[in-house]
Amino acid sequence: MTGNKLKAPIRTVLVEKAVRRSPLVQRLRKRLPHARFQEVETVPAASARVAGLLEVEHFKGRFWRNCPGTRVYDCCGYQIIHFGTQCTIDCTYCILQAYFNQPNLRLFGNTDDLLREVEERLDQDPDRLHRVGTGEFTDSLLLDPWTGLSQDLVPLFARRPNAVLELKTKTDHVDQLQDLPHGGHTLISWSLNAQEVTRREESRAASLRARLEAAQKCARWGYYLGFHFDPMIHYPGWRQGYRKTLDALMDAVDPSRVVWISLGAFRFMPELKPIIAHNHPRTRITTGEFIRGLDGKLRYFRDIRIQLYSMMVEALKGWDRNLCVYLCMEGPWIWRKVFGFEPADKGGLPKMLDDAVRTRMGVMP
Amino acid sequence: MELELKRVPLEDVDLEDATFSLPGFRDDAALFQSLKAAGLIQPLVAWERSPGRFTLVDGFRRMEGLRQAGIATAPFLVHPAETPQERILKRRLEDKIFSGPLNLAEKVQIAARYAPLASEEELRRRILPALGLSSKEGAVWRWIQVGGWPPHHLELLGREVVSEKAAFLLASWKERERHAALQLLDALRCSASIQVEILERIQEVAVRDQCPLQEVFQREELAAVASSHKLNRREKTAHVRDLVARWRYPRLYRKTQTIREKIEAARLPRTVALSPPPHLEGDRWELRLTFTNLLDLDAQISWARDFGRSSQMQAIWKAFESVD
Repeated sequence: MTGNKLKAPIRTVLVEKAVRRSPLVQRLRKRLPHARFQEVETVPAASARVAGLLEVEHFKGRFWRNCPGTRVYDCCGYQIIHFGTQCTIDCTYCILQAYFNQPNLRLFGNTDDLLREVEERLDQDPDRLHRVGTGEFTDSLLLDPWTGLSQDLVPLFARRPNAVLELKTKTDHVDQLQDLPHGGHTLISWSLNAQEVTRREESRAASLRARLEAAQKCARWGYYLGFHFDPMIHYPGWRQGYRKTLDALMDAVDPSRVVWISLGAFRFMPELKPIIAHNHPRTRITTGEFIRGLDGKLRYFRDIRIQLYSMMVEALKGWDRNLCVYLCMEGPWIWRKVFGFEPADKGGLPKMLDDAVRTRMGVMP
Repeated sequence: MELELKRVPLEDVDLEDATFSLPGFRDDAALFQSLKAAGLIQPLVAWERSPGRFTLVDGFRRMEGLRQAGIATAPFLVHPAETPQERILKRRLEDKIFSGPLNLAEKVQIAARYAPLASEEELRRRILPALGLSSKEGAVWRWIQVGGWPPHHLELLGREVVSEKAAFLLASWKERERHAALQLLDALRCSASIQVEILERIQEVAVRDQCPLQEVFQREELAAVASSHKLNRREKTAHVRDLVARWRYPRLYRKTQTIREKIEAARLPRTVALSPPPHLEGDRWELRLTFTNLLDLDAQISWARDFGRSSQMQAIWKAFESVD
């Protein structure tokens, strides 16, 4: 966990009996020798987070999901492998804070079911290119050194001509990826931000430097890379702040390894506002000029978003004009102002990203 | 123990003892007139704390009316001395909850007084709903805080100057900041939703600008509106909302104003209304035409076509599209 401030190891693992013999639990037992393992019939409901606790449950829902998009803002057609919930990085802006009924780190122990469902879904639609990620309800790599989930998923995707896997993280937990047979079908991606934002709002995440060093390692091991400037925060000095991060990124990474870079200005459900105020009373993150967007979420009013994105796009296109830079959950009116076109002009955002996979990674069904 | 009906000299009642008092800050005039016209209909309730000395439990306003009318004795239902104070208080609160319409001041005092007598669960599940108070997460703590406000702040709740939602928000504010907020709300007397809008925005301005809340309330522009003798309450409210919106959303406010001014400068006919997208989000403008007959409709559409190409509409569009 070098460079990462998240030092607290898992001290207690609560395992549902139905998954006590699963490969995931076996690995956890081996890799967390000092943790106390306790078996229960069902993980009990909790109302507050217990430090150092990891819950492993037998998940009976769908592991494979479509990224929840909206009608009015362009969605990228991403698909999600749901392998667990919650995160202990505790970013001030994180939506996971609103999940009161499951405050603890939770993994789904029945990984055999998960892998079977992934295979089935990829088989069902062999002509479609699947862009699949795991970092929607938790950080993809936060616990990966102990769970070894990447050991299962990365080789699985390497065998599939119609799919790429994206592992999104704010950590530098990458050493376990070094010798995996990825076959050029996995990209490791980092959420990046201005350093001021990282310090104030992501204080338990790896530093920018640590994230970029991890990215360099992954590039050396042949992985493709992705970066997500999301959520971008508008604050006094944002222009210089993001410029510095861009400079650091451009110094650290060869753009030809980068498949895509997304930009997304901070947006949040109104219900999250009092939760943020309660959990992070010192943050000023919700005091920007937010309006209620057409999807009901609060988002910066248009001029601010256009300014944030335009500066970034100009710099990134100057770095590599063929780089796939896209806006996450934005309206065509914003795309037109920032890029001079809207996704529909290029066949839609999913097609733009599929094209990036084909041209950068050489993956096509 | 059973209550005993007794005739008690009013001078034997300790008027300084407010153990069971739940002031509602109501206008007493009508009640006093009723006492004068019909006399005391229901007995007062007291606790004979020690032989011959009584603490008033229920009927504080009627007691005052009787005293002012020069009445020397009145019928009382009396709790004997050995009745525990906690039991009397609980009965008093239960009776009050279900005895008729309560104002917000009474509700929050009941909640606060009930807090030591019940579990948090009971307060959340039974007492707050029975009082008609919000029982969402953190509500118990908040209502206890509000119930402990000083009388001059509770009075504003009793007089319906401050809404339940605003009181809920103000529960976590420090006393000086709350005082400033309540003074402002007293000057405006606006609706519940507008109270919350104003308070939340002021709070966010203070957090954003990293200044004490008190400082925002003391800003000259705000103080001038609140204390103006020329503006009525409705006008004051409009001014304060506008001012606070300008502080909270300076760029959006400026841009919206500019577009509004351009639309006004275009001097549209009365039959036409032009609106940009709400909050300038999205790309859906609205042009509404009102017509009286088909000829008129044709004329309106023709006007709209010309207006779309006019320099005024170009100026409006430019103001919308430009990013400063």
